Amino acid sequence: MPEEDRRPDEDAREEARLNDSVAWNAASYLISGIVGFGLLGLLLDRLLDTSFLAVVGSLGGMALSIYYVWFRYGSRN
Amino acid sequence: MSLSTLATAGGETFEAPSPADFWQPLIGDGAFALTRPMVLMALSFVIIAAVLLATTKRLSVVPANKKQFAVEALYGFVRNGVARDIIGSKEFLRYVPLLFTLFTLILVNNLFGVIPPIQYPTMSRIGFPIALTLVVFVLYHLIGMKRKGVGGYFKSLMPAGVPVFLVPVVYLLELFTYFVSRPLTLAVRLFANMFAGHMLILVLFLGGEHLLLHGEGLLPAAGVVSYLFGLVMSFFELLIQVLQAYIFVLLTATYIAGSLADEH
Amino acid sequence: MGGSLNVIGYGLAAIGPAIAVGLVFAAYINGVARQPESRGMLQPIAILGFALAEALAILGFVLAFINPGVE
Repeated sequence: MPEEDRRPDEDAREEARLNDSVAWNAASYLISGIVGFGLLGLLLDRLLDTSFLAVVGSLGGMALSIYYVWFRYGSRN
Repeated sequence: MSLSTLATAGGETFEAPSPADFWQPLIGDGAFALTRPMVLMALSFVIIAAVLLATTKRLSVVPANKKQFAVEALYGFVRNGVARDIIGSKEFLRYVPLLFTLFTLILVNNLFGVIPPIQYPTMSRIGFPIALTLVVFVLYHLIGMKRKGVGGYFKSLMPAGVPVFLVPVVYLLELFTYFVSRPLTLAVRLFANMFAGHMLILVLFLGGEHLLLHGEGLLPAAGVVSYLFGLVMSFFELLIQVLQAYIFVLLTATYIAGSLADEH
Repeated sequence: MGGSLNVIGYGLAAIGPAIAVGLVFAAYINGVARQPESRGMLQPIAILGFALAEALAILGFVLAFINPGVE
């Protein structure tokens, strides 16, 4: 495409805009960790007739997702 | 006394609005009824098509009238502010039509929530956000699989540098994020904002009316306050409606950009 | 209007993380406004703070759905 409307600070702005959207993705990972692993624990609870795996999955998923958000977005520099 | 029935004077009880109030079939009933949001969705399509066709019929390089300028500003916002900044200047042009369509469609349908004769946000029925999300969901997976191959796409979900003993759980986390929580949050965020906002306005106006007409003593004054607060919340809702349309498009662009990126 | 105390509990529990997320991004915006070049350094910290606060909100959301079996 023609790049006539491209300003010199374009790259920096692009980078900044892309970085600003990571907060939304971080929230997605947190939901996956807590809800996803919590559901997995609940499923195992139903299968094995136990009652602690949902809590373990939920808390473990929370720890994992916080670590992963730090790994993806926090440790870049 | 339950929470919903607020007894005031003369035995008149107040029925709080409930989610059932959003089910408004016009013709027929059951699964195949023609409902109000369906009509509104069709109406929004007609409005958008009419406005865009009318304002772009006689195009000039320098916008000749205010209408063309306004539509160009809207288009430029999606094209430059969202698509180019997020997807990158190399291949964003292919996705601008989709993003612009999504943005205008969601924006007009959300604005229906406060426009007086209509006053029903289409997206407060969850089927509509789900349909839009399905398009986005299929699209970003297809783009990724086309770009990297099916195997390569699933391999690319996993970033390098995760400790070996965490790889299985992190992969599970990534799979769940890509296939469940991303589409889920995209649809539910739009639905919940529209639904809750409209419900809040309904409660304030219906409650205010009830206090005004059936209240005793100082209660009509509270009804006036409720009306004023409802008015304030309507303007707040206007802001939310524009913002949610923007966020939906922004996240769509982010997902497309993520599927196009070489390394994860 | 039916409902359960769980939902009210979650509403109360969401206040804390909401304030926390607000404070995190207020501080981040403040920092970037004062020193725009510090954005790269501040952003990971802001995202991490956001993640820690948001995790509590989502945990509360999950806990609100857990039915202890007492009717």
